[in-house]
Amino acid sequence: MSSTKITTILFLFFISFTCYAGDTMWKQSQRFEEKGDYEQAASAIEHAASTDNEYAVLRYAYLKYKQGEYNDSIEYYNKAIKLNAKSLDAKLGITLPYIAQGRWRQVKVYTRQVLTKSDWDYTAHERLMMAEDGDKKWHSLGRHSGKLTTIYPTDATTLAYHARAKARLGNTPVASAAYKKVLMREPDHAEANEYLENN
Amino acid sequence: MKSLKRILLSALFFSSIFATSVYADERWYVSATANGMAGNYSDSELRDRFYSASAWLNVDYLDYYSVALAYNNLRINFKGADAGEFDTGRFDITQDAFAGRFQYYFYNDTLAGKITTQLVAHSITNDARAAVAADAIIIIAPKLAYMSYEKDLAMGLEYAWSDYSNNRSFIIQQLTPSIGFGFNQNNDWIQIKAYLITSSDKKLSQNEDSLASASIKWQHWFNPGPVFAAHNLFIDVLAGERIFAVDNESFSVYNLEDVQQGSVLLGLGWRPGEDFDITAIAGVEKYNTYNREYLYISLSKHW
Repeated sequence: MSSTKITTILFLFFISFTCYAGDTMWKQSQRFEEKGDYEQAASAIEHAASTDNEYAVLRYAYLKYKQGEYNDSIEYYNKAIKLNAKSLDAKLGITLPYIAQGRWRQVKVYTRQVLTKSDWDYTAHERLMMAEDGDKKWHSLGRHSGKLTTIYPTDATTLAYHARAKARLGNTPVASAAYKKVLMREPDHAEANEYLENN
Repeated sequence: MKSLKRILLSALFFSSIFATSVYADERWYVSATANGMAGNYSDSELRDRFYSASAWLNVDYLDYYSVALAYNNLRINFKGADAGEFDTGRFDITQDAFAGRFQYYFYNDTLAGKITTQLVAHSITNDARAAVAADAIIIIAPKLAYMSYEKDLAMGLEYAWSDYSNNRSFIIQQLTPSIGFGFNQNNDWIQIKAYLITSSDKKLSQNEDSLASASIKWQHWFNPGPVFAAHNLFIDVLAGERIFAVDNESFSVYNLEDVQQGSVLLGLGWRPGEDFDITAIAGVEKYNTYNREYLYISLSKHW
């Protein structure tokens, strides 16, 4: 066998090994995630996340969030935003660690950036309502959730936020009516049941 | 002394211009507060009434850092304003106090909470003739505080170094550890705070070189309130003794009072709009030679 053939065979072997290793990396990461082992799931793609591989960076950021390493998660979501400033995935993703840290102002900044590009993005609205709730901005939450109930009329979460805001503002009739609608959609909703028992 | 006052004044001026130009940005959060306080001294041979007015300006950049500036004007009237040559009203005191506060926040996932580093500086001048070494004061107070992400546990440690040395060397040091916790879905909050105060010269601090006191504060947020539609209610009780105390939650310095032996206050807060707060407080403070009763009202607007 000529040296050229040997070189070609060795080259193809390494190429196929590299491709296989790449497949294994994603598979391994997903398998660890399915088992709830987020640390190993993140380790499996750590090298790819250190490059400019946008998907790896986003996935790594999410897995860091799942591990409770919120500052690291924010760092990688910021890296993903720098790689692709148009990414709504990254701007929605970064709200997760900020929500976990109770940093409602940051959540508002990023959800509003998403909403300027996509007016009725449900996830962005839901997390913005979460921020208004966390910040005890009952007037804002009441107005915001009120508009959303016409866009997502079957959604129990939006109705529950609307009911909570009205309850906090002392508007018992509107709060009760909204909580009753929540129970039509989710009969075991604890907050709605408790409010209606006491009011 | 004058340079610190000049810095605080300049900062107040520039930050007010800065605040009005940036408040619309969602990354900047501005609050302006005006408050007034009036009260009288009971069981006092000399002191009659006091009036106080303050303005605070607070600017936050998201949840990274915060700058606050405060100005307070205080007037204490003494009795016998029309008693001719023996007029104790001549001892009336007018005081100007400036304060600046800088806070920087860190978020620590291992401790699962927000760490606040804080530095407060006060510059106080007054025309007191009777008060001992209390007419020109500089206070520097660093603080480290922790608040859990769930906002149900807080701890803090503050050190205040008060320099009353315009006439002779006189330093007051104060250590203020505190702990607070929330319950009832954080609709209730209890805070316990200790004031450990030492004086470098007991002759200038009413023969006291070391004093200790502790306060407990309970605050409840209504849903909404049964009491005059209030948003929140709070009660604060102080026991023990303290002198020349510093309370940086309200930018208060007790530099013109005697040995405080306790206090109790009751406060109510209203939120008529999402960005507007009203707070009213009625309180009584007991000192070694008199009592002080007061009413306080505060209006805050947030942008």
